[in-house]
Amino acid sequence: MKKILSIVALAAMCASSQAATVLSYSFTSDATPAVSGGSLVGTVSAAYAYIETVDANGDPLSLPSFRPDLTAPAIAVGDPSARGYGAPISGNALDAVDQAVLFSFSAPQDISAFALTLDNSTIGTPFGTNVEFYDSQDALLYSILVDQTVSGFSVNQALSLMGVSKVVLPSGAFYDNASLTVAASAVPEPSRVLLMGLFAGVAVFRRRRA
Amino acid sequence: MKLQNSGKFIAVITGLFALGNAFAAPTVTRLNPPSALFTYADATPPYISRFLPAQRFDLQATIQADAGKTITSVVFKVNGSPVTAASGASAITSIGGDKFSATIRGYSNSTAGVKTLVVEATQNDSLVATGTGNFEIASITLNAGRKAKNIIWLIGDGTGIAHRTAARIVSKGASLGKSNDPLAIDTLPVTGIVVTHSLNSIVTDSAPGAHCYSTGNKANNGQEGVFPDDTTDKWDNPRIEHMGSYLARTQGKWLGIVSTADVEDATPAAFAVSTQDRGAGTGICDMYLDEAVANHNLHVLMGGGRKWFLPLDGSAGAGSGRVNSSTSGGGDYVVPSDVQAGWSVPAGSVDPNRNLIADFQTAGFYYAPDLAGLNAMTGSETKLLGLFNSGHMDVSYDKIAHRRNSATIAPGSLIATYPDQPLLEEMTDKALTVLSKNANGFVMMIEGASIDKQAHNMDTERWVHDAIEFDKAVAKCIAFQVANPDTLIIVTADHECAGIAISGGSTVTDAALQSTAVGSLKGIVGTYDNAKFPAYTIAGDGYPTTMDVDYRMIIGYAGNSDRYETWRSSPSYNVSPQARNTTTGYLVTGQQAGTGVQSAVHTASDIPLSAGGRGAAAFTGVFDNTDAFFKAMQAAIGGAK
Repeated sequence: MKKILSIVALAAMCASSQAATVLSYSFTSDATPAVSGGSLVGTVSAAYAYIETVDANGDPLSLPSFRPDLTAPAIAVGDPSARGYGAPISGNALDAVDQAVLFSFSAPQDISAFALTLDNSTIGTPFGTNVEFYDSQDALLYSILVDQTVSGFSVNQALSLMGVSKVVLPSGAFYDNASLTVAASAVPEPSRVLLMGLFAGVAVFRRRRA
Repeated sequence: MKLQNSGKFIAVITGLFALGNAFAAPTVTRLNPPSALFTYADATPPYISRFLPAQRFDLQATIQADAGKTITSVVFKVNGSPVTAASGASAITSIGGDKFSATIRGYSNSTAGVKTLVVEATQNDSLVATGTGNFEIASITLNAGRKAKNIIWLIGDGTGIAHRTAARIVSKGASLGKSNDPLAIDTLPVTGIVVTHSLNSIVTDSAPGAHCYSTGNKANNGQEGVFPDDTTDKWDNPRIEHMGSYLARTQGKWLGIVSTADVEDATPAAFAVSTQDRGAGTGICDMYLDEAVANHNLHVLMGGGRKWFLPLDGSAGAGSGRVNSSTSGGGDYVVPSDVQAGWSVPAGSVDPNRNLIADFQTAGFYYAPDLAGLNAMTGSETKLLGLFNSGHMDVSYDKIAHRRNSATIAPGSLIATYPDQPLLEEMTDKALTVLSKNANGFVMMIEGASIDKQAHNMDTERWVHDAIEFDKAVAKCIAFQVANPDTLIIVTADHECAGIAISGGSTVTDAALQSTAVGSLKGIVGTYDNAKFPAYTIAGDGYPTTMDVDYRMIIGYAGNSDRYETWRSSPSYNVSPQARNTTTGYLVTGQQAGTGVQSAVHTASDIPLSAGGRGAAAFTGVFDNTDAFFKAMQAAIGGAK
């Protein structure tokens, strides 16, 4: 039985590895990611954003919600040194100096890794700057401190986040070389359904034996 | 029984010790930042001192030691944790009379909330003095929207509600119950009411009245950029980081300061300088270059006050008052070493022969001595110094009169020496051109200074004229904001001046007024229906053709001193109201004559604030003047929808 379980686990790992999707943002000319690995289920979009605290009637929301700012200009990329933010990291970078940037997934994603590099300057908001991950109900799942006052600050972190719908980069800095690894599709692929069924079957079999 | 006696003995000994300590124990007599907790043992809001997350400020305590004793160590604790000073940024200084001043410079705290500050000072006989205060770190909502890239503070010095109304009546007119047109200020969509008290009085002067907008904190009258201490040194007070410095280091913004006053004057200096003496002439102007250019990204400085910039030896021309002060001798500056270390500033020096204009030019500033100099700018300049008068600039009433007829030079003015002084709107235009070159935006303070100065002087025609000039500067900024939507415009004052009231209108023509007997001048004031609608004519240059119209607007002064009133414009500039028109006017008695009240005075009345652009919506309701700082900084740091 142990042998069967090992084979099933290995198969699942291989399947999972094959399904991982990496969204790489070089911000050379826009905020469109290069996608490698599996294809992303749904779409991802980027926009300048604000945090909404009240509903249409002016009543407080149960949870503040990041929303695309429809009055803001389109996402801009540019040379950080043109704004005095140090030499470029690799050409252009995402300009989030004046406003937070919201990445929205049309379908919730499971995030297994995140990487990001900040501009080469000490200019930046000196407190409370976090990259934040939210689910579809605007519950904060996780946050990562990005110190904008440290020149070239970078993050490269393994995560285990389920059902991420929004990723927010805080305002106050330029960002470059962002990478999001989507661990598995939110809508399982057929091969994964089969493997999950096998897991379930084995689990039931083991419980009966016990 | 034995036990009882021993208990009494111990109690007596303990009491004697306590009594001894009560008479011979060091005490903390001051703790900065100021707090109601330290001063009144009141731990409830409002908290007197409030800072942005990561905004720097100094911790300071004055300790009265026992006679002949010294204070050997001082520990400041915030929420129970000892504060560690940066290298060289702390000091314990004997200040005479067995008093000691202890400082930690450049402290900051990034976590919002109320913090308890405790100081423990140890005397050389191991007795310990303790003081407890508090301060608040404000909460800024990050990512609340797009940031205000540019922030423009327009301060009509001394401008209350009535000053605005008077400017509207004269420049726009009113008929059939409605104003014919709004002032530019009136078109700003948000209005609030500001409470203006200073740290030590309900009536503020211009130093704390502007300091509050630049630092978010209260100051004593006469002081700017600092909290009060107990030393005579005007440069060692506990500092608070200015808005310009904070936004320079965190956002790369530039700072601009534009005034029709001497640039050494309180309002302009309160946006970049740190001193307990608002009149510390040369030192203030040196500090603009030595500290503000380096640490606040000061890129524009315009106004009067050339005398502070010229070397005393006359090598750069006559007219220098360098190494002096408008309030007391010895205005140049040298800061102590802990300030240097804590704030990354140079020591300063007493340098009477410094050519400060040349030093500004060496630092990359374009220098304009007059309007022609401003107009000669190529458009590529990124730093601008304009010094258009030796002291305060002449007022628009006299500048316009001279422009219309070059032979018209008001006695008492410096028009003859400085015939080509720009108007505030022209200075504003150039400042915007320079500052808008920074992709990271700017903070600019624009002051209409002589609305206040001429209201002090109860020279109605001159302050109304300057209020109109100020409104034209506002119009320039509104046009800029329309083209640059991420700009926040705040139009307000530092305080009300003179208790202005628009009492009514003259019931006679100007000719009749001139022929009215002195004894009857009081009777020409028409009130209610008889005030009617005074009508002025505006010339092509945008200013009244004359202020001496028939049936003119009549102004009363509640914060007045004695004056001789004729209800007509004074041909001379800056003549004391007690020396002016003594034979042609009737005496209106005011406050007791004495120091500070030979002219009309500031009042504690609330002042209006108008705002437009990014983040303006927050400036509504009735709020403290320090609140305006935090509202603006929310827009600049956290953004606004």
